[in-house]
Amino acid sequence: MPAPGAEPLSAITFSGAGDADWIYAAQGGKLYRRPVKVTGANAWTVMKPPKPTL
Amino acid sequence: MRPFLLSLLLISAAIALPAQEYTLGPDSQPQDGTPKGTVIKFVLPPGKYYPGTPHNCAVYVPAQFDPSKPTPFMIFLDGGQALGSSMRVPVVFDNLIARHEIPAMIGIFVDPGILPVVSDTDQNRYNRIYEYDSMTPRFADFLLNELIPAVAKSYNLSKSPDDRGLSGVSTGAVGAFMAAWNRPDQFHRVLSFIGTYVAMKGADRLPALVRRTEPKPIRIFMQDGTNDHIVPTQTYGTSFAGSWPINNQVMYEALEFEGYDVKLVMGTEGHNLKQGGAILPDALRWLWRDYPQPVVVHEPAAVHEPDWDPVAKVFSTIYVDKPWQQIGGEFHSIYSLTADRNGNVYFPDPVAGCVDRVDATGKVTHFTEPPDYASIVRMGVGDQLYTYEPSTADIVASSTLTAVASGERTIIRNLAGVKDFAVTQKGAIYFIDGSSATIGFIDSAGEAKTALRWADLDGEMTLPHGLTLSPDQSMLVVSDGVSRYSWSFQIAPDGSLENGEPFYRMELPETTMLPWQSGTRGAMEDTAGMVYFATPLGIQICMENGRVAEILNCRRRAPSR
Repeated sequence: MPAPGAEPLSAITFSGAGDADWIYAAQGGKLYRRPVKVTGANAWTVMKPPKPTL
Repeated sequence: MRPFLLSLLLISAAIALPAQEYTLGPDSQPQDGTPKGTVIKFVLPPGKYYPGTPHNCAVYVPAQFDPSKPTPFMIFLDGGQALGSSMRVPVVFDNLIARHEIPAMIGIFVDPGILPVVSDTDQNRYNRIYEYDSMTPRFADFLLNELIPAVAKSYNLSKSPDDRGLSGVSTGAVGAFMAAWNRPDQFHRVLSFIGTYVAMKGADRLPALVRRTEPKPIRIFMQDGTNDHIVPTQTYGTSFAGSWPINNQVMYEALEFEGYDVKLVMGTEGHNLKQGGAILPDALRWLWRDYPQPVVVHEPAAVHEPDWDPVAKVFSTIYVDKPWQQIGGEFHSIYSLTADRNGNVYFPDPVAGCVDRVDATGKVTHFTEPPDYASIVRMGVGDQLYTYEPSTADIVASSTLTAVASGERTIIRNLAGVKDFAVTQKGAIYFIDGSSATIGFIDSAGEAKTALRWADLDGEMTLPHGLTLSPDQSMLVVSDGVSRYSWSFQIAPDGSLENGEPFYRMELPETTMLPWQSGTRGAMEDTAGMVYFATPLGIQICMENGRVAEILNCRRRAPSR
């Protein structure tokens, strides 16, 4: 078994009013968040992303 | 690597310049009138991490030691060598401490373990390479849970990571760096002489990880020589594992790339301590300069230059001065997260038996009434929160426009074994059905069908764990909790999944915990099409083309062993 306190990231989501520019991450029983410079996609807005770098 | 520097390095190696002379300076000689510390040797008995294996140790206690104050310390791997004539750490400490050029530190010296033989006809098992040349946190665990507590019984050791340094030579340098890399919450200063960052047991992988991973608060001094494992007849190197001088340079540049406070001194010696011993006083002064100012992370200066390319850089995603903040208290476990358009986050709370909501201020409230043992939450169109409850095997949608769930309606019944699902703009649902090893599809009229049987992929997909849609909802990403690869599927007009590819290649955790495998869990996408995977290494962010370009650190440490 993993040692105590050694959990993986168990779930993630973008969030934020307007632009979803926070990331929330769960690690076992703890929940963390931080602001980020990117914006999360969501179910209710369909948009074509830019062509990727190749 | 800068072409000019690389050229210099290679030219130096190619013509195998005679080694420059290095001698121990006055800082490495006993000085009259300088207070002398004491060195006490002891044997650390076998413990949990290296069973049956004792470690020879010693502690240097400076003459200025004040037992009433938490004392900074450095741990020297290959401790006997550090105490010996090539490095003379106690003498150097005496001199630098007396002149206040480094803090009045304790030195902890630990030799690698040797498993004793049962009889004289047997050979020992020598642990040096096993303990030091390892990407796993086992050696850090040994230091933190066995060696440091043993010394702390007698001496008041500081608990601040800024007060804790590590030093290693050759493979020991890998051990020192890895202990700090795996536990940056515990160690902030690393001294690396002739570091073995070559392809022996994984340390050659470090530069690639360093360049991708959000920087950690570690200051590192490095030294190597252009003749390290280089001889005139083998200017390409004498070892199967690669080139020491080139790999030290590559490691150094990776640390520079990611904004670390790092210095590399490249001399002309081979795989020995002639230069390292001579520059040890300078290295210690550099490593402990500005003490007690903390070692902090910062962006590389190039971020502010006009030729900075922001594509696929961790600094284009995070603010280095805004790390993870914990929200709420200790929940039992959180396996699913989603968010509405107003900045509220939802997750199933199995202890409270409800779905919790966290608002933008971090306040946590119960969104659904107990008993609600939902396991998965996903936000859909029209401010509708979709939840799956295993006991009823139903997916239910409810409005999030009110402080508690309202207007509940059942979307579909009798879906046993759902592990994750994703909702489209049209209200269709894709779900991982663990019981039938399929990915199911429920169209907007509520009709369910099988979109994919992963057994049809000839075993390439092992254990689907999370789903996410591309921003244009033309692709479905399926994360795999076991395999290194997660998948991209094209969504056909009838909703079925086609043209699947094992598109995303994760960096794997270094662990002996086999059940972890890749450990990839949920996934999400940003509006640029970058895919974010929850993994044991942190959040791995893949470019649209499938490369892992960024890794956001976990707040808590990686799996043990």
